[in-house]
Amino acid sequence: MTGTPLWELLGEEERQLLRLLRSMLDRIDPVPVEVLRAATSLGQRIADPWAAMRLVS
Amino acid sequence: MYENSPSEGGRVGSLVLAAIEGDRGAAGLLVARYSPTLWAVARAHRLSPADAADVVQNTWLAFHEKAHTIRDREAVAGWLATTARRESLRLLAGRRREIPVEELREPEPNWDGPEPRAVLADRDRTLWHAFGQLPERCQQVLRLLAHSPELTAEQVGTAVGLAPGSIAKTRLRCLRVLRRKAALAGLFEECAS
Repeated sequence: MTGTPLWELLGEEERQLLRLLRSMLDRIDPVPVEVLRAATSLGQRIADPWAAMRLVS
Repeated sequence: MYENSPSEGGRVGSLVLAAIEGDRGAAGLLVARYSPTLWAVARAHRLSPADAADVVQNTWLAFHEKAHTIRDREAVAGWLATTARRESLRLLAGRRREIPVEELREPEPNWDGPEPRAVLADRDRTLWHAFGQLPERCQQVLRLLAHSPELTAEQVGTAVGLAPGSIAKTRLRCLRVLRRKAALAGLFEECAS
């Protein structure tokens, strides 16, 4: 039971409520675009070993 | 997203592997897919937007440093959520900069979609108010579930610091309370249509 995704244990009403909650949170409290950009940029710098070394130093 | 849960066709594990091997596109897809979950974890710990941004960044940094150690790559959402929780707790312990839920950003009038903005704005405010009345633990569990429904009880429990066995009951109780509060505010009948 603990290995089952919780989504599969939800009834349709619960799923509907969670969908509403998700869309509300996405509108009211979204991840700022600049945070996403910085996280993406971080991954690209890490993927470049020379840049990664510069990050560490 | 929900329709593709839980494993999104096995793509998640492949994306993680590709990211480990230096595929920037895969890393970017993971960032786009899971940053909302990390943000949700941080905000559920009542961190300010600036601190939540630090949590997201630090969690992705940890991912890039330790992704090769993740045993079950399909379960990366749980790993990320747990790491974000640790980062959130570390920040809280260091700074003690907590803000009440009421201070979180209010809805802004820029909704896109077929429904009238005023209707969406009213619905969001009502649901936000009802959500804000829930106990903090409920908010943590529901934020996680809303953003990453593929998580198991064990993963959610680890991410919010609850025993996996209590997650199912907590989830049910929290959703019932939220539904009742929303219905009392006249929201749910409108949304059920």
